[in-house]
Amino acid sequence: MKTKNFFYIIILLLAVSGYSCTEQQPERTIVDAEQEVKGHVRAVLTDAPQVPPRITNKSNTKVIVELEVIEKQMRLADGVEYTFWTFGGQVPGKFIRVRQGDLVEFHLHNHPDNMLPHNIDLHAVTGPGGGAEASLIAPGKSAQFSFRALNQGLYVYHCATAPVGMHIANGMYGLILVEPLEGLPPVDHEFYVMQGEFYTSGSYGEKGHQDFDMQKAIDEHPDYVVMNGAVGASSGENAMMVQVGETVRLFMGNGGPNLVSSFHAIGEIFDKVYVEGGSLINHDVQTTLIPAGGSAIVEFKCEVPGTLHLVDHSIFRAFNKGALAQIKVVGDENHNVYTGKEKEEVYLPEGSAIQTISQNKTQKSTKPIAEKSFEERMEAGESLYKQNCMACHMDHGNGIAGTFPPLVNSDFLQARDDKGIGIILNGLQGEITVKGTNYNNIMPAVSLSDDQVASILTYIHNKFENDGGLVKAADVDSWRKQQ
Amino acid sequence: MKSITFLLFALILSFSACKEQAAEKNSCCSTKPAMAQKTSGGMPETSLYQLNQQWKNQNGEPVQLSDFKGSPVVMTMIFTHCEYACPMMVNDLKMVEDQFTEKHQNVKFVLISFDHERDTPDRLLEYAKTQQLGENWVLLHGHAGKVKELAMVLDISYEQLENGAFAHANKKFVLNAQGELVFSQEGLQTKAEPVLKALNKLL
Amino acid sequence: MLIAGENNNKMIRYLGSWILAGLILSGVGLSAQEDMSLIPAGSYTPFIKGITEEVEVEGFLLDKYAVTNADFLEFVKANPDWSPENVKSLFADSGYLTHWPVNYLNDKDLESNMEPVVNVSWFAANAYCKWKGKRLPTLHEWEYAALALPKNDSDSAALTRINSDWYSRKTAVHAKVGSTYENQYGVWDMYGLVWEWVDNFNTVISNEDSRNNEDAPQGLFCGSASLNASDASDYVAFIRFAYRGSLKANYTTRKMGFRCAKTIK
Repeated sequence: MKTKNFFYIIILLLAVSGYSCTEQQPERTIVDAEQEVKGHVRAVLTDAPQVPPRITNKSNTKVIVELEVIEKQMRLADGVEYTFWTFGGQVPGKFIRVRQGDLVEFHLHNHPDNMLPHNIDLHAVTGPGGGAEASLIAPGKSAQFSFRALNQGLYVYHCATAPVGMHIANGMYGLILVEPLEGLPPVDHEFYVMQGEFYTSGSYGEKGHQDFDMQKAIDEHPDYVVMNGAVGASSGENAMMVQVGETVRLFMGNGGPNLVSSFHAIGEIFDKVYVEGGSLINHDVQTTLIPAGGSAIVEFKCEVPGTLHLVDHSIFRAFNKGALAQIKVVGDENHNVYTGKEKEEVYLPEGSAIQTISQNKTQKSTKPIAEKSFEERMEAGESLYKQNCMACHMDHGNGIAGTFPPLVNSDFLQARDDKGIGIILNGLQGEITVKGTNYNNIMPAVSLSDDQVASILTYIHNKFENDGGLVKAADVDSWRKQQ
Repeated sequence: MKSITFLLFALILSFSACKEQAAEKNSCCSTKPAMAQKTSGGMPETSLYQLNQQWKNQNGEPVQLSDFKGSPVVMTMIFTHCEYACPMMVNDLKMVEDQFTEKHQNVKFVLISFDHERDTPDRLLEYAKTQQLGENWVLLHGHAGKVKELAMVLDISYEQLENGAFAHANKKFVLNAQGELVFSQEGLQTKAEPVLKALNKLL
Repeated sequence: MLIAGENNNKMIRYLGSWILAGLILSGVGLSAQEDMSLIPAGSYTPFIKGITEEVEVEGFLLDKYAVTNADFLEFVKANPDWSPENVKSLFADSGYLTHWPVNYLNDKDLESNMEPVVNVSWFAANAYCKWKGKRLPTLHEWEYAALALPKNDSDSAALTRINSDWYSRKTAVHAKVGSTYENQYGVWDMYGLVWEWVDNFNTVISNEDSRNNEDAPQGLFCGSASLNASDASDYVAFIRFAYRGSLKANYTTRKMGFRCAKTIK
């Protein structure tokens, strides 16, 4: 009896879990490949970050896709050129959008000026090589093949001509979306972003035309990891633009050839992720993995203004190799969602004293140093200022209003008998007033030699419209001795 | 695995062969359009019979490919010392012939040998007898250069191996009365119906 | 009498190739020596592994330079069947000699043009070589001769460098023959100028038996390539074989020319 009860519980649990699954996940649609298609349309193709319009057709049709392979030299980063091999003239290749059950008549053209044969392997194809064998063409030739878009999803396509890795590494990849029969739910914006890495003869940023480096590719050591084919291709002034309150759907692909992307949007949570571009939907995701030769569809609503940074969260790729795209969200603040900085104040744990930047106290040398001339002090002072002071007081010496006091024409500095020597050697804390503005912050003591302090102060007194004059190392020395 | 590969080849072939003319006409870059429609010497430019070659049949008589003009031809390339693929290809063609009716009486089967050294007309005649090939089967012998040109036109890859045998693609073709390639099929133990269908379109 | 058949005479492979070649050359005539180089017999490991690791190549003569526009113009004048107007599409597609001016017969520049002829089909190249009393080099001959390092650069990576430079830039099409490098056999521009037709560009290559022919050479274009290649990192060879695999004998392309070879008799 007991076993029987247990058994029922298991059944019940299974049923419940099954039920909840079917409720969350839409049922997969299987299309009938024998079904007739009606009429034909020419596919609209777009370059990233644009996406072709949503499909409004209510029945399956024949979609004619014309894609041209073009080898061309383009910008990889500022001052860096690369010979890209492209599907349609840009990296990534043209975005293709069809509907599940459509018959796709694919025409691949290899431009006659190209050096090499090319073909295409579309992951959306059910058939040998994804169309690769059927589409291999010499320069100046066209190939045609047709396939039925049996499965819905977001699929990568790429060139599969030997050496396959090299063709992909040179930029031969793109995305094809097979929309489900019922279509994707409407959103305000759809964008196309694709990550890919480049292996160049020179290291990151090296100017001039860069050749492909096969050894780096085999070692999987890219110099560039970029979004949409070049550093800055979809950031800065090329950033995607949306309004506060709008919904965004990103068709995100990874061409590789080697790296897996830890795709993340700094400042946003993905409300919905079509995992790996398929029909499994996950919610509330921070970072989603996109395999090389794979994709993901992510959706989110932009609730507050600001810039979203789309990055590969293998984060050196974003900051040091270019893996960054941006969405600029403009509109009104919503403090119920995010306030921005409300308050900033001094934080002093109990018992702490002013810290010196370096604990090394060996500078207290009494050994006399040959005094520098005014010109020598100014020159040394400039570089010392940049190393020690500029981070807060800024290059121009104006500081940051309300946080770091200005040094330019500073009444506070000029009123001091010590010319400021005490501030540098001991640091400063507590409220002060400079040029009519109150500051309440901490400046740590800076551990410098007498000679260095003299140079910095000479520089500050003369460069920033103060009272001028020459501060000597001997002045600093005698000030120390008075303490 | 093998059957999958056959299928694959058949697919490639059906696409490349059947769609090729259309593709070239639509080519983005063609500077001389409508070339395919041009005729030369009363034959289409794409006719295999433009190959001005002398061959010898199994009876030792001189034959030109253009002699077959006027009726459909089923063509393939083989060699008689082939132990596996070629007998199967010949068998595939016999299966086609088995379904012939009255209207197919003028259709010829033309087998061209890769092996110019060993496949003399006598040897070909002997082969035709052992294979029980009828009057409408023509087996051709020719020099290596002709074999290569024909194979190039038919896009048949082949290579002579050190033991004298030939590695080769297994392809069958249907030519129309003008000698134009209208159908091709790749693989072994293929179905007869597609070949028949291609022939029936011509009759 | 010394070298009989194309296939079976193994003598040449085992005798001192240079000495033998010297003897043979005397019978070839001086003209051949001027514009052709002797490629001595030897063996090499082909890029695609076949039944044997090593392939033996008999000694042969190879044109020092790719055939130029000027050379090919002579051929067309002597063989009107091969003029752009008369050529049959069975033998050359619509790109055939499209880079020539319309009145090519009276074009003084073309008469002395030393750039390699391109936009020629395999059939046209084959006919040209025949007309010259030569033939197209076989794939093995071409690959074997191309393995020789530059005369002035014995760095073993030199050829890969020349190739990858060539692939990774949009080349100036108007380079003359003899403008890249001369290899140790005295042959110019094997890499870096134009692609070149070989006699059996569509060869099956990699199988011992016709049963297996379905495994080649299409395997080159997908994952299996890495299994068949003798050196997976030799990507420049990959590219060459992929290029050949994309061709048919009546194709013409803007970057493909040829040179001729000759059997030593």
